[in-house]
Order: sequence, then C-alpha cells, then structure tokens
Amino acid sequence: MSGRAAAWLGLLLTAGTVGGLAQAPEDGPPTRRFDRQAAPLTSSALSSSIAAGSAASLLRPGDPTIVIATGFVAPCRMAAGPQGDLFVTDQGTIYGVTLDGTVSVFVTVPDARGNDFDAFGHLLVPSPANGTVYRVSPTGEVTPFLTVFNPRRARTGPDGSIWIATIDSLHHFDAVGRYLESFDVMSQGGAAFGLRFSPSGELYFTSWAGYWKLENGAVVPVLTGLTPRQGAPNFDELGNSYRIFEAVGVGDTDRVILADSDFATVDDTLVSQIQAPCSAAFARDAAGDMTNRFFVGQRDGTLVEVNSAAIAAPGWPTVGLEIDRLDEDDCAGTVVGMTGLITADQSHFLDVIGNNNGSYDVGDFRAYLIATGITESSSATGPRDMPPLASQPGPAGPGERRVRR
Amino acid sequence: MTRCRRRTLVAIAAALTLAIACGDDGPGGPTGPISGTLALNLTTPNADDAALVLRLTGPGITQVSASDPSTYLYSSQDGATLTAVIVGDLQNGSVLRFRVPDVNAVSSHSGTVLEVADEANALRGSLAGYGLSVTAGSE
Repeated sequence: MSGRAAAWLGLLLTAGTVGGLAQAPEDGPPTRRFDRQAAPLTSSALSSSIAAGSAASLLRPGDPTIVIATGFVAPCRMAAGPQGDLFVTDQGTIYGVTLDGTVSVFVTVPDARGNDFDAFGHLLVPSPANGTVYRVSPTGEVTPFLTVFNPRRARTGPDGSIWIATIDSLHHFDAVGRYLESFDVMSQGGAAFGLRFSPSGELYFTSWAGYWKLENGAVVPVLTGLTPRQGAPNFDELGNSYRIFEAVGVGDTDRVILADSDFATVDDTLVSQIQAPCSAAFARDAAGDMTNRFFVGQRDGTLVEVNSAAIAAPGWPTVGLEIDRLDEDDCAGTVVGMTGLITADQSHFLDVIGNNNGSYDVGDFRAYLIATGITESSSATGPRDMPPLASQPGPAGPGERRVRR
Repeated sequence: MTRCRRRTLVAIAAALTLAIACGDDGPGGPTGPISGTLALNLTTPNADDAALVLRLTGPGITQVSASDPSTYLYSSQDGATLTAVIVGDLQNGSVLRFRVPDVNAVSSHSGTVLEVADEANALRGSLAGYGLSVTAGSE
C-alpha cells in the first residue's frame, strides 16, 4: 500500500472513530443548546496529513476536537469566567457558554473586543468605537469604566492592576481604575493587540505576527517576523504556551502550536482539527480553579474543545489576582504583624483598594472586608461590588471573630 | 463505732472545715487568685474610628472576644502578648473582653493602640489622645 493510500485509509478509520465520540445532549433547560459532536476534519488537516504520508499523522495529540457550540458568527474573543463558564464575544454580544454547550446572552457592548475579568469579578470590555473600557457586573450591569483611545484588550495583572492594549501603546491603571502610566510600544518596534501575563509575571503583548514582552518599560522582542495570523499565547501553569495559528497564506494550515517556557516550539501542530481559529482560552471549573480544558473559537461560528490529553498542565489564570481568592485569615494576620502570609502583589492590591498610602494597614484591611462582603458598609454594597474609595465611607457591620495562636 | 474512732472523725471534719474556710477568702482571710473577665477600654479623641490594631499584654489571657458582637475581631497571640484588629463602629468604652486566671491582677495587663483608621479607611496620622485601659469586666 502506498503512503498516500495508507493516509486515506487512516483518515477513513479515524473519521469513523471520531464519529463515534459524538455525545447526546445532556439534561437541562438551556437557552440554546448544541450537541457536542466531533469536529469535521478540515481540508487543511486533511492536506497536511496526506502530505505527511502516514495514517498516524492524521490525529495530532490535541485531536480529536469536540464541537461545544455552534451558531456564532465570529466568536473571536473569549474569557474564562470565575464559575466555569466561558464568556464569548461575538460581534458586540457577549455570551455565557457553559462547558457542556449551553449558550445564553450575557450583555451587549458596542464594538466589544478583548475582554477579561478584573480583580473584583467584573468583566472588562474594551470598545474602540466608543474609546471606552466598560465594566460589566456579574449581574450584567454595564458601566463605563476607563476612557482610552482605541482599546483592544484588557488584562488584569498579578497585583490586580489593569492593562489596556491599544495597538501602539500599553496603558496601565490600578485595580480601581486610577491611571498609572503608559508605554509607547510601536516606537520600539512592537504592536499590542493581545496581552498575557506568564506564570513568572512577565507581560507579553502580541500582534498577528510577533510577540514581545515589557521589561522595565522597554519592549523586548520574543518572536517576531512570524507568519500571520498568530494568536496570543495561552500559558499553562508550567509556562508552556498554546497558541492558535489561523492559516491565511497558501500552504498554511490551521493549528495550535505548543511552545515551552522559552517559546521554543515543542509541537508545531499540537491540534489540527480546527478551522480558522480566532480565539482560545483555558476554562475554569465551578470552583474557579484552572483546568486543562482548552477551547478554541472559530470563524465558522463554532466553539470546539481540544483533546485535554494533549495539555501538559492546567492553564495559568489570565486574571492575575482575584479578591475572592485571597485568604481572609492571611489578610487579617498580616495586618496584626504576621509575615509571609500574603505576597507583595497582594499587599499592594489591598493598599490600592484601601487608602492607597503605599503600605498595607488596618484601613486597607477594612476596605477588603467591605469589598468581600465580610463586613457591611452603609451603602450596602455586595461582595463583588467595588470597594468604597476614600471618599465613600461606611460603617462596618457584623463580622466574624477569629483567633490565631 | 468505737469512741476513739468517733474522735478521729470529728478531728477530720474540723480540719476540713478549717481548710474550706481558708480558701473562702472570707473577711480577714488570706486572698488567692480569682479567675474572671477583664475589659479593655478604648479612649479616643475621634467619633469616626472604624478600625484599629491594638496590642494587649498580660499573663494568662484567654477567651478574647469583642465587647460589641457586631464588630469584627481577629487576634493573634504569642505568649503574654496579643495583637488584635477590630473593625466596626468604635467609640469610647470597652472594645475587648478576655479571661484571666486572676482578676485582681488588673495592673499586670496593659494595652497599646498601634493603628487606627477612620470610616474612609484613612489611617490616622497621629495617635495622640488614644489610649487603652484594663478594668474588671462583667461576666
């Protein structure tokens, strides 16, 4: 049997196997429900497999992919929600998508771009058309938050501060939205469409053809001159990066590329069964912990899940700090003088949401208690509402009493 | 029962009576330790205190609780030193209660205000006028 014939035979066998993986809808009252089903093998995957000349090359480690949801137009922005849902942006509408494929409209934001969550569980949604970054509460209340020209991507750093990519610049705000600084990256040869923090805390920014990182305000090239369209790296907790590649050139193939923590390619085609990928994200579980479930949005309007067997470790959170995941006893212990309980980033965040005087103190701890709902303020803000700033006082209400010995 | 044995029992009863009397702290008798509750009282020059960190020192401090149950209390103890954070509507008066093995040793306990924040979460720049005193507390 020739290599080409073997490849075709392998393809047929594989298609049969994949077809058997299609699952029936699960129970529940969805707003919109899609059957999970095996993704069709794409023409690009087929051609690359034939070119490889062996049946084994048909399935890559991240194959088969499974269709989670269909019916989108261009689900090209995606964020992992704190309770496990994916938040998929599709032409100004942000959908909540459960990991079993239930889709519901969350909010609409004009010209919505690369969204992600802030430290308080609000979704930050850049809108270039309005020059505004909107903040969306967990209940769907949309309010203007930051005024920024041409915002494309929002990202929350390890200290809870907010970074906004505007192609030519990176703008930096603190966790409650006070402007801090800006970096002109285009004059240094970079371009900022996407943003990611690595597990080591480095800020990477990306275009379709290059990756850079910001080091002490300077733009440092990581990988440049790449073939478009490269997606932003999604890191796992080991520092490996998984990035989608959308084929737009003759002979290119759609795929997911795996690289190590030094950005050296480990597998140029970790996943082949995708078609015009335009967004990707690791999902979280219901408790908010990161998982090794990796999802890809495609320009054909589908959302697929990669075979998690190919994922080396759970994803690294794209939200660098979440107030709900701070330990109350650690925050309290630190304010009474214990050391080593919280990180410098966490201490800085707590100061920022409190009195912002440069060090963590009892006023900051009170702000934390109010922001998390452990104690109440007079304005009856909920646990996920913004903490009161210095101009928004409120007496404390009932609290917990703890003793550490 | 023999006469001799009855005398012995009377003597034992008398001794027990004397022993009980000695431990009763009755008028004129010697005074021993009495376990009980003390109160830590705040003196503040401000009416809008909302959070404070304090240090309490003294022997045998246990069962620390907020005097006002609506306030938040967290404390950390290392031997005879207890550091606590209290968050709530803080006014002049008792802020903490704690058990000690001897309520008569009030003077061996003392408190210090370390940090205070107001209702806007701002840290007080000066702690002048703040003080803590220890008094006998009600059970």
